[in-house]
Parts: sequence; C-alpha cells; structure tokens
Amino acid sequence: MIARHVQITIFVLLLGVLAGGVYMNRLKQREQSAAQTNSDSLPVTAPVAGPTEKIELMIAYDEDGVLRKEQSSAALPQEAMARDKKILRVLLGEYLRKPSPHPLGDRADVNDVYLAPGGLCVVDLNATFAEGHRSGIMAEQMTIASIVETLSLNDRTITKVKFLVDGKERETLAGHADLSMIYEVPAVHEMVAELQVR
Amino acid sequence: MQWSSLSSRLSKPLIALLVIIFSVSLAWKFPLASAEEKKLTVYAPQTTYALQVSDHENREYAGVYELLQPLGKVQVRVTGAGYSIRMGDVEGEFQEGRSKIRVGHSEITFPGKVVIDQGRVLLPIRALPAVLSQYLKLHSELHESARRLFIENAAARFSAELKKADGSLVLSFSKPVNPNVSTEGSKLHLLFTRDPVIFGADGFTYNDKLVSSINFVERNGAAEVVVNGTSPLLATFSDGGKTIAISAAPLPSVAQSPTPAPAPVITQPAPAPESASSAPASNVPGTNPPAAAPVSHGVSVNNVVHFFVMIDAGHGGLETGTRFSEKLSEKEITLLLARRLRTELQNRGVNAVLLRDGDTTLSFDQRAVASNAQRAGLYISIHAGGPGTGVRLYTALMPTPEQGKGEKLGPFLPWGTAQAGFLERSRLVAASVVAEMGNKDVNALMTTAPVPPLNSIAAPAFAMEVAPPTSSATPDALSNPSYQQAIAVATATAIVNARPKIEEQR
Ligand SMILES: [Zn+2]
Repeated sequence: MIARHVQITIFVLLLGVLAGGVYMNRLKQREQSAAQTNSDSLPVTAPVAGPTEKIELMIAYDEDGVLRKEQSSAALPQEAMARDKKILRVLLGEYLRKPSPHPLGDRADVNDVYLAPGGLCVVDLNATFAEGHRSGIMAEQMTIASIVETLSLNDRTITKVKFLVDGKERETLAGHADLSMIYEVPAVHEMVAELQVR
Repeated sequence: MQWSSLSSRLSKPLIALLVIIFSVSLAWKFPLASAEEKKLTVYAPQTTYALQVSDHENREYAGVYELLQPLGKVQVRVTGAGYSIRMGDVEGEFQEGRSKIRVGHSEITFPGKVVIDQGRVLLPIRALPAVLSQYLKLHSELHESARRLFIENAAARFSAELKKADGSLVLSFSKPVNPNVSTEGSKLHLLFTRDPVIFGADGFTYNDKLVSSINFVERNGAAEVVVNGTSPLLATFSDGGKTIAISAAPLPSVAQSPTPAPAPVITQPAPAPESASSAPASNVPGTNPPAAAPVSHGVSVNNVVHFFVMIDAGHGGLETGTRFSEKLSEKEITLLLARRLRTELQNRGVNAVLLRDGDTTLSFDQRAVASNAQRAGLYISIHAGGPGTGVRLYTALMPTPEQGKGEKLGPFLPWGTAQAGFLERSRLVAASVVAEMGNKDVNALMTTAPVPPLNSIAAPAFAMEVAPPTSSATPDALSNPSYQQAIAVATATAIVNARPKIEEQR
C-alpha cells in the first residue's frame, strides 16, 4: 500500500505535467499565430479582384546553396509594373515566413518596381530590406539572383535589373553584393547555373 | 660640359625653339591643374569639409554660410542693408562692396570686399579665421596658398623615420589616415584629401639605398607626400591606419606581370634572375610587407614590377563585416587568414603583400587603386561567413560591354570594367584553388558574383568566402588554426601551380 502523502505527491506532479503540456501547446499556438500575423502584416498592394494566375518563383535555399524554380499563384494586377511588384512580394513572402529557406530582415519589402524602355527594370527596395539583410557574399548573391530570376521568369520583357534602396543608389546590399551595377539577365542566369552545380 | 660653352655653341633660334618646346610640353602636362576646381578644405576637430573657392579681383573667396553651416545651425536673412548671418547668439552683417563687416560686437576689416554672388555671401579666404573666431570663439590657422584651414587643434603632425634594418621608411600619424596611394616609376604618392596632416618640414633627403627623399606638398586643399626611391616602392598600412610603411616593391622574378595599367611599360628583354622567384622571400619577421630580394642599385628599374600577390583581407576598421558574436567579427578572421596565406605563399617563393595588415577602414576604390597602382600580379579578396559550408571562390560578374561604351580613355581602362581582359585567367586560378581544396578535403565551389572591387582590378583576381567546415560547426570554427591552415596551404599551392598561366601575356 502506497502511503497517502506519496499518492498526493504523485497526483500533484501529474497535474503539473498536464498543466505544463497545456501551457506549452498554448505557447506554440500563440507563436504560430504571431508568425502568421507577421507574414500577413506584409504590406500588400490593394486587393485585386479576379482569378489567380500561375507564377514562377526562383527561391534561394541557403542550406543547399541553390536556387529552385517553384510554382505559385496569386491574383495579379493588369498593369505591368504593379504586376511585377506583386510577384516580388509573393517571393518575399516565401522568405519572410518562418522557418525560411533564405531569411530576410523583418519588414523587408519592395517600395516600387519601374519598367524603363530597353528592358530595364528598376527595383526600389525599402531601407529595412538592405539594413536587415545578412552580410556575406553568398547570402547577398542569392538574394539578387532570386529577385532577378523571378522577375525575368514572369516578365519576359525584362533584360536588365537595377536596384535602388529607398529611391537612392547604394554601393552594396549589405557589404558584399554590388548594387551600383546594372544586372544583365543572361549573366545572372549563368551565375545561377553555376550555383546549381555541386 | 660647362653651361657657358654649351649655350655659346647653340644658335639663338635653336634656344628659342627649345624654350617653345619646353613651354608647350609644360602646358600639355598641366592642363588639369589649371582646369581643376579651386577648393578650400576646412579641418575641424569633428569633421572635414571642402568649400568652393572663386576668384574676384585677383583674390580668392569662399562662402560664409558654407563655412559655418557644418559646424552648427546657421540662419541667413536678407536685411535692408545686405545680409545677416546668425549662428547661436552671434549675428554678423555683410554689405556688398564693403571691406569691413560686423560680427557680434567686433568689426573685422580685410583686404578686398564682401561679394554677394547669387545670394551667397563671399569673403576673401584670408578673412575667414577672424570670422570663425567671432562666431565660434575658435582659433584657426589658415595655410593660405594651400587653401587649408585648421580649426582649433585639428592639424595632425606626422613623423617619418627611416628603419636602418630593412631600409623602409615608416610614417607615423597621430590619427588614422586614409590617403590615395599611387606610384609612378620609383616615386610613391600619398594624397591626403580629407586628413588634416601636416609635416614639420618641406622634406628630407636620405642617404639610403632604397629611399632617397620625402617631400611634403600642400596644394588646393590637399596634402601630398611624395617619396622618391631608387626602385619601385610599396605602401603598407598598419596600426589601424596610423602607420604607413614604405618599402621596396617585390622584385625581379621570372616574368613580369602583364600590365594594362595606364603608365607605359618599359619591358626589359633581359631575363631576370630565376633565383629570386624560387628562393623563399627573406622577410624579417615582424616587418610587414613585401619580399626583399636584393635591389639592383643604380639600374633604372622604373615601371618594371615583378610578380606578387596582393592579399586583401575583407572589411576592417569601422567596417566589421559579419558579426559572429560579441568577440568575433569577420574583419578579424579575414586578417588572420590573409596573414597565413602570405606566409604560405612566401614559403613557396611567391612574393605576397597584405593590402591591410591592421584594422584599417578602406573603401573598395582604395583597395582597387592600391592593387592596380602597385601592379599586383594576382589579387585575392578574403571574406568569411555563412550560409553553407566550405570555401566559395568568386570571379567577377562583369557588366556587358555596352555599359562601358563611350568611355574611350586611351591607355586607361574604364574603372568598372578593368577586370574584363583578365577574366579568363581569374577563372583559371580560381579553378585551380577549387581543385586543390578538394585535395585537402575542404569542399569548395566556384561561381561568378558581383563582389566589389573585383570588376575594377586590372589583374587576375578572385574573392573567396570561407564558411564553417561542416553544417554543425559554429562560427568559431572559422578562426580555427587548422581549418585556416588547410585553406591557406591549398590556396598557396594552387597559385604556385597556376602561376605560369596567371603570368601569361594576353
Ligand atoms: Zn565579407
């Protein structure tokens, strides 16, 4: 026969474990919903009516050091610049979720996308994008490659891409990748192909 | 031959012709100097800035608002009589054409007069110290002909000391400095555009086998140190930019590095001694730079630079690169690895120089200038950090030729595309490094990447980024001596193997 005080102790311990479990579960849920709000809080262009369209994203996977083409879909505006901007936001959404294949700083965003004659696309990133970006050749190279590739996959008129940060020229993204140059799509294709070879 | 006898033998027309040729050649040589914009550099303890200088009635003028504004809040008002400029509780009155102004309770008179030009109040630069002392109660000193104005104790004197041991000249500064370095034959120029450096003398002459003189020149808001050597010189920075050691540039080896640099190259057909390249460099431990085979004294070796590797430890000074922890940042790891690589190259008889051998802040342009001006035979930029594992070798991602179109610069290469002609050899040597890493069981890959300053390097060049050896390793592994050593040995071996290709003339 187990002594009564031992029975009580065991009961209290079991209760503790149960309560702990419930609490942990709560925490997890809260975290998930927080993560969701986080990606929901991404500023999104005005909601677009109409059917969703298929888009292709070139997603960077840090762990494997490669970029992979993936299908996604979104309701896209008709106007070309708004459309390209929306596609980039879908791409950033992939990186801002947790866990992320290629983490970016919270609230990294695209201010605007401009299309200039001659196939030039100007991507204006927000300051948080650059300031919150991890520093490193590969980390920065993959971000540039992913954006240029995704743009050119979905908008065939784009042949070169120039990056601005908050409307201004910037020397590098985070100390390594040159933002002063204009990226030629074929050269970026080649760079991505080299990355895939392991 | 005596001058008198020489001149008596030359006919008058011939002398006249010589004079004309001489003056034409001068005019041809210095058109930039006269077309250059005049400026006055103001060195304050907290900042350095430049003012535009214009000429009025043979005097040099600069703006009062422009002088005061970087030092505090300034308000300008148009009054009935002219302009009022207020800073703090001191107000100054400026009337066009007067050679007298009132600032606070004092009157300042000066040669020349107040000029109002498109709403800007201009004063002769000679009057500016008095203006500063009234507005800010600050003492300042004007070097008028050089147009340099030092406020309070901003001036930083430097000293020059000749080290007898290795013949190098060591310049010591009280604060970190950031000059542009260039070389011209056996002359080395350090141009200080923002540093308030001053020197106690116009120059010194040394009776030494390497350095023959040092001259200090102040001109148009800048200061320049010119060191004359008996053979090509090299500047190395250390002590966080407070020390510059000037020593012999690396010396004769089998082949000369191909040189697309602006200056004409006098190629010397005579074979250089083989021994210098195969013998280990005789560096004195503790001295920075380059290797030291014997200098051929009395022989002009102008413009002939011999193969050496410029190792550029990424980041430095204020720019830390990736911060891995409180104690560990990328700039330290890159310097450690750069030093190891230098040792391993020197052990294999290859001259190697560190672009920074201390905690110095350097811009990408300064790095490219240092490598190009000294005519490195190979440039390596070192970085460290994730994601992923192993070592990544990067060659330049070049803009397409149209982007550089229209930049016809004669013998000069367009700055952003200087790498174009070297890309093939850059890839060759990077591939050789990848192969050698494989032999050392370090996983490595090679791609192009948009990493400055690779595009501006006029020599075979690559960047490397060292990530931890395995996915479970912490960033501390990056400073692990055996990991670094394996990488340094593989890189040095690969460079030795690829060297004949690196040096191949295009
Ligand atoms: Zn770096």
